[in-house]
Amino acid sequence: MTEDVKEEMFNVLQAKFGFDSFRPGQEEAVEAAVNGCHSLVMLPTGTGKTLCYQLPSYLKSGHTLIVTPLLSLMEDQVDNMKKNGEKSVVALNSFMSYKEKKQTLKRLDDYKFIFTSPEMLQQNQVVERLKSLSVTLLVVDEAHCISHWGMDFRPDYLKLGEIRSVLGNPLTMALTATAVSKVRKEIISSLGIGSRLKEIVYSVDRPDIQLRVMRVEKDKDTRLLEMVSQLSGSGIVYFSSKKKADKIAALIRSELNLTAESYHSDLSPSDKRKTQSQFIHNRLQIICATSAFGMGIDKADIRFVIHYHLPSSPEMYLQEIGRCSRDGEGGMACLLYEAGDEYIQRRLQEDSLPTTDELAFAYKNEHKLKDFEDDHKAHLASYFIKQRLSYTQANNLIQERLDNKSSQLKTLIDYAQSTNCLRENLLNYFNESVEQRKHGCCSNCTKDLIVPFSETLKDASQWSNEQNWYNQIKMLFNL
Amino acid sequence: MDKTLLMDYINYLISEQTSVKMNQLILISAGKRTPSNLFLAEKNRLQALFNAEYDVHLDEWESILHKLVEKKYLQETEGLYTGTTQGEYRREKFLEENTIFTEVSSLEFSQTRKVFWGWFVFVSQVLSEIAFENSRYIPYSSNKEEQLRVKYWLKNQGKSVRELRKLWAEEFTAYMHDLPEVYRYLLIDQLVGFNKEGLTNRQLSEKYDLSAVELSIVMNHLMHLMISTHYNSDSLIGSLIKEVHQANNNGLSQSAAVTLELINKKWTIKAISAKRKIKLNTVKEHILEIVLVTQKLQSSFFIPEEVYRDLNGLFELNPSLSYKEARLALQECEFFWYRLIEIERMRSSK
Repeated sequence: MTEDVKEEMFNVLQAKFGFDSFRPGQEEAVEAAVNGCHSLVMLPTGTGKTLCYQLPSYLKSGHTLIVTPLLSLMEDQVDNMKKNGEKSVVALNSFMSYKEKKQTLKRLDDYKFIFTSPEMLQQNQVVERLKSLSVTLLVVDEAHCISHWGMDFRPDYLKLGEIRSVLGNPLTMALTATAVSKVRKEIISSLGIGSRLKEIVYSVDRPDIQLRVMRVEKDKDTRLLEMVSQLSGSGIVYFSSKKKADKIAALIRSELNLTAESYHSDLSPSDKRKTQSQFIHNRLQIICATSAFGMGIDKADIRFVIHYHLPSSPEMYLQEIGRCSRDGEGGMACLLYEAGDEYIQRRLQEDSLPTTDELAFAYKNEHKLKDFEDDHKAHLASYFIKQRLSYTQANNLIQERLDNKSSQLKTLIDYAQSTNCLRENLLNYFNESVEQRKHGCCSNCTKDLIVPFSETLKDASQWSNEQNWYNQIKMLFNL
Repeated sequence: MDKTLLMDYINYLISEQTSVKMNQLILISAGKRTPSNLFLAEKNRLQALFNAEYDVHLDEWESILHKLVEKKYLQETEGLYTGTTQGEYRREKFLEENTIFTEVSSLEFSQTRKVFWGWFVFVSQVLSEIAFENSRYIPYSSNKEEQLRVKYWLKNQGKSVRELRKLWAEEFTAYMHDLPEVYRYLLIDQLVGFNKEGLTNRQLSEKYDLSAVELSIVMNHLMHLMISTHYNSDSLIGSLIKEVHQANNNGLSQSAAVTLELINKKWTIKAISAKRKIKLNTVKEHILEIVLVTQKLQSSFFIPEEVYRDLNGLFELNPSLSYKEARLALQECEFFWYRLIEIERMRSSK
């Protein structure tokens, strides 16, 4: 890379992002793209992966196509980019009406950044339109979804290699936060980016986040409330159940007199936005959420993440706890564990894949699968059928997947029950070792840990509900 | 707030002129757009309930209706509920105490009432953020079509941003002036803008001691008031209402709206059916929907002159003429014609 290009890179970093320096891993990723190398970028959650593709896009002509698996995440990413001043961005997804999609496709060349979902890329009309553009960078976000072994395997992701080839094999960047070596290999092979590839793999560890496990016996709610009452700053409590999230949020409000709200798929879009906004602006201290919350949340000063229920895998756990302490000022992650907690997760895992009977039904009644388009199990069965896998092969794959999920869950149970260093335990799973210990490391390394932060919730915005309604209107419109 | 709001509200809906079954109330609330459901809603003066989608469970309907019968506010005969004089007295008292529950006499704005407030909040947010010169905010509406519409709507007003926000604030203030104080705060608490996040439905329910259903009942009627005050005016709010109404097919289903466009171009039922490759009966159902929802079409236009005259004659002799009786007298009589005349006569008798 020439000095001129490097200088330009730093100019853009300052002008577009307001930074003077890169975070670890970012510079290498940007350089790889600028130098025309494909890349697999694995950076821990909360370390600014968006910049890795956004910045080189400014140094290239043509369009950047970003494939992202979750629609809500896509919306958040687009909104955040717009909020940060980048208006040449669009989301092409199934939320759109027919008319909206038609208009967006027509005007697609007006946008520098095009976000889409793997499902949309199954539509000929979309692919044909993309073919007519000059896609100079293809970004595969949450690339671990490509792998059968990844935590969120998505059949449609497997076809991305094919799509990439149809688009003329553009320069490709695969991004993930947590992927074990087996998963990373599968990503590279599936996308066909093995040659001229730069792997930028950083440790998944976040030393500034203190790890804790609290083992409880039938008094989880009380212990959780005790813990929350002693914590300052913003925090998220994760649940596997919407009802439980509602219940605990209500308890935190009534018992601790703290501001808390639940967040899950039952909320209306406007309530979701308001809740996120209240949290970001420190009007809400605690969010009691299912995994639906967090991916697109742009808040650097979340101080703690507590898991009321076991997450599904170590990857998921790392992703969720990675939402705290993005500012590097210190955070705490605590897993509340009661013997038997694994049953909920096991049931959820079993429910996420077709049973032997359901698969047999799908193979015998292929024509009926169209009626179950929104059912993820039917979707998976349909994918196997379309791939011309025999029933036995498909069933074996499902069994393998179940075994894999079960082993991931076992890692977490071991983590919850371990008396050794928690960080070591978690990093072992990713074939990593502990490089740095901060803030007492974990609840097994240090007795009577002190939380690595002391701040109280920063002042909320200066809006006053005390004002009478007339003055509130004047304040709102700056009159 | 009043703990019995939901019960009083249901009593308010079911007057002495009403005669409906519980299932019909549920279908009307769900906004099912079959001609018979629309007809039933208008005939029983349940326009306020139509398409409101109140989240009331079956057993809750049962329990409330049962209690209202027990209190003798309603009477029930073979599953049909009708208001009583005692219920009417209670209804009047409720309306005196709750002035926002004014009469909803048309089905046309049911969808607009449901979505308009979201647009209002969004426009308020945009004007507020602009007022503070902040372009870095997350829009309240994530719907791209809505975002574009609002953008063009603001542009098409031909006014400076300063003028727009001043006018918007003035019109909103004027509307709020006429509301009971508690509702002024209920509305302002929902607004979002610069440094203002707005309260969620749960937070509003808690603050104003309203259940989720009661909150949607109140919002339905507050929006009815806003729409009826502004729709026919040249105000900024009126202009947004027209925009939203148009975005929602002027109260019609998408398909009926297409049929209306063709009718306005003088297409016949047969021609529409052929062009759109839909059954003749479907076109007729669209026409009934248009007549019942928008009140924009003349029924006589679709009925042969002779049939129109004869059917009206039969109705003069027997105001509760059934379709079966009409068929006995006029063998070629279509149900479509019978229903159109029934609607026309129902309206003229009000």
